[in-house]
Amino acid sequence: MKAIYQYSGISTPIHKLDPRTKLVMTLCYLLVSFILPSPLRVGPAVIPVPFVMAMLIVLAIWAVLRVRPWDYMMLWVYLIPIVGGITFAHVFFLDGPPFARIPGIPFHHLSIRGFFFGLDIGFRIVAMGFAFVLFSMTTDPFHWGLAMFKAGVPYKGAFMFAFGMRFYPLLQEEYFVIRDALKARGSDLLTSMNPVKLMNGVAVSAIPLGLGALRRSQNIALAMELRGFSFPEETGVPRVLYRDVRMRRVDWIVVGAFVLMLLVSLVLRLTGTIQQAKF
Amino acid sequence: MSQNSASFSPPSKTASSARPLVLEDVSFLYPKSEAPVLDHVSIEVRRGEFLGIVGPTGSGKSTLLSVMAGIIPHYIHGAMTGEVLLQGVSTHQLSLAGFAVHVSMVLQDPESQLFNLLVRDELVWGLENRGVERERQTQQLRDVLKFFRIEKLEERITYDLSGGEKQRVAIAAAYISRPEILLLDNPTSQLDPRGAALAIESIRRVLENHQTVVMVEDKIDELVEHADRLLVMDKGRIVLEGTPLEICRSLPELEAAGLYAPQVPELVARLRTGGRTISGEPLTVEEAVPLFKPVMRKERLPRLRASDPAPRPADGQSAIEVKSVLFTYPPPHETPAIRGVSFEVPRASLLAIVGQNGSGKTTLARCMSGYLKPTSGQIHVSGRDVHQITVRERAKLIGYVFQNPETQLFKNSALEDVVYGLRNLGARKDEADERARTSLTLLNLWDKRDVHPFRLSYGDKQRLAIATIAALEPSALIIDEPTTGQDHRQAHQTMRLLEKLRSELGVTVIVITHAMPLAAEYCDRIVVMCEGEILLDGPPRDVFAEEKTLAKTFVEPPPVTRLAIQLGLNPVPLTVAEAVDQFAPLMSREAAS
Repeated sequence: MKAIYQYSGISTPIHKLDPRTKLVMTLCYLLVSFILPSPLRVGPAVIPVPFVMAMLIVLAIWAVLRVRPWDYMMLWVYLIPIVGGITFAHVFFLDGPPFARIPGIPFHHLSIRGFFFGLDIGFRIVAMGFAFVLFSMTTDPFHWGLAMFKAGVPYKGAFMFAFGMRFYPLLQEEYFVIRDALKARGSDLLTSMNPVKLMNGVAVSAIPLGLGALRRSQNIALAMELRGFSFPEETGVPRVLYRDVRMRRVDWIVVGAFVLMLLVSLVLRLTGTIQQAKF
Repeated sequence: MSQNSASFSPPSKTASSARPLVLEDVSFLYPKSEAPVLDHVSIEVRRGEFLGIVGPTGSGKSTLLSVMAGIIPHYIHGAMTGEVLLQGVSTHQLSLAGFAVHVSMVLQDPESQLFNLLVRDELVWGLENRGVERERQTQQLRDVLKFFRIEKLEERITYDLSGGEKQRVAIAAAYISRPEILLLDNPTSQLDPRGAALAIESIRRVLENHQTVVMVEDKIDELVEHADRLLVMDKGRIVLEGTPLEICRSLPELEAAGLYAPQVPELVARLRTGGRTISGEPLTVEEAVPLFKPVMRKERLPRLRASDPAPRPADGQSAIEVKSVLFTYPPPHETPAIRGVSFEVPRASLLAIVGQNGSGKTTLARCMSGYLKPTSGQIHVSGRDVHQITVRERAKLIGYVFQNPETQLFKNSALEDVVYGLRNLGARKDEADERARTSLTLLNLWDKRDVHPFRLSYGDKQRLAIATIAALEPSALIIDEPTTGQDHRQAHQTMRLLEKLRSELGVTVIVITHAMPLAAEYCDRIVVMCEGEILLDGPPRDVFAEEKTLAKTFVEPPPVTRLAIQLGLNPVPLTVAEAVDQFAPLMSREAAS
């Protein structure tokens, strides 16, 4: 079964964009989520900007890739404690109008401002995570590797980066088999919610997982050499890439649009045209 | 990396073009090994021939292929003596990349040789590395896609392909540069029947192009039909050399090397020993049918015999009950893998689940062992719902041995590994030690109890994985591909041990396998799966008699069974011994020669 971050392999306008375009899109989008004040007052409405921006990406994943939010329930399960923890910390440590006071204990000042600020930080992290999920699901890692090569990264480095993305799911698959093999021996170490047991499970599984990965990577390295991976370096005959990676007009238009969105947000923020809602 | 123009000068065209690859008295010793893996081996590979190399596991045949590919001495190091000449140029004068221009190799594991995302990129990758111009790459890509009939795979993601498709793409990727020699290392050993058929079809196409091919196989059956010449290896030496026919005639020598002859020549040889005469030297079922038909006495056909009854539990209880199980993989894929399957497995039976990859057999086995929860339906093991019990309770009820033994060995010695599971289930140390001893002894591993599991041979690792689960004394045991990667002798040894578990300890054993002769010989029931449903279910003799239905799943009965079917015999024999018993009375001693 494919993991949520794996390249989807379907064909959509986003898939067809150059990886560099998608990277610029992602970075601009994330910067905007940091630049725009939050919560943002627009008329009578108060908008929690990072939350809305994170949800827009969730919708984009749904619309473009047909992957529904509940299809990656486990990711939400992992994100909730992160968002909750950050929010919880800010409630105690940030000044602002208190909504409760608990006399007699330190950190008794529970801040509303801290609550919203913590939520914003949490959802910016969520937005960041989902933005890269969308990026990786719509970008062929080898296309990305070739773009890196075009940008001056040595071919072997760029190829190994792309291959790493390709290799990771295989490792994940092996991890699941090891987890089940442990269950077959009456051990729930790798499925336990107890962190100590879980760490013990990681240690136990390290031998088969590590040795398996080592063996597999050796075999793959050999297979690569048999197909002439080192041929250009050894002979001086330059490598000729079959796939042409270049920015098309549509890429430049999309890059322009996102950079413009970033600049507009920056100007609006710096000129005070848009302001944070006051409590 | 330094450039070495001498390393890449093309091999001399003045060298004998009839012998593109010559090995002269080659020996090789791996570091830290005591015995040489190759022991004074001399071979001449002739242009345009299909050379098959067979031998038991550990006989040195894959090492020999590594020498032919230049992997030894350029990638794997050790003590090598003798000379390897590629078109007259010594291996020491060529680098691995230089070798790769002339010699392409397809490895055993299709997973390890596809490292690009898309099939198209995988195919052209070798050409890119060699600096072939883009127009030529396009042309060669088109040619190879058409040649191997894989046009539809061009835009597919490599890890989404089936095993057979992967190996087909691997062969195409090796062949795209039209190497002078194509080396194939056990290309079908990890494939299901459909996958093996696809790979063999690709190899056939290569052979039609008069390509020089050297192929290594554990089992001789795959090679006799196509090879021009066979070499049999044992303990690092070539012990037999000849045409497939000559090799198949040398039954005692083959057996001495730990190999079994293909069933058809063995049957012919045994019938001849018993005084029956058959003209010609058939190697395959297709060749045998016209030779057997005239010498079989028609009036005694068919010689009916009651079909083997399916075994019933002594106490009337089933070990496993599968009731209307349906399993659909979760979104976004939502593929229905099991479509309303129901069956019962009696206690102390040895059952085989067969079918091509994707037929649902592993999903079903995982549902039965509790790793996957069916979308609907119920599974009871020894009367208990397998999904309503804890991991520990389940481990005591039903064991599961995965295909790759290396993913299920966790400790520093074989003994510790067996003890580990027992201790997890709460056994005292002395009790765990005793049960581990029993299990290791049963699986012939007690002598290796102190060896690190990863230092064992593949067959021993597989048996250790079985021992670790058998020690838990589950009432049922599911084993995924127990004989993959093992030669004939090891495979029979493993199956005999499973039979022992069933008969001596009363364990219900379920094997998922593609090895039909083994399933026919050892299992008392066969379940054939196709597209998530049970297509056939019954004793092997009845199941294998349904050749046409089986064809839908690419499952082929053993050769002697197929021969009997084509001769109109019923019931059909499952082994060579049974075939001799059945055929001999139908053939008069003075039958026409």
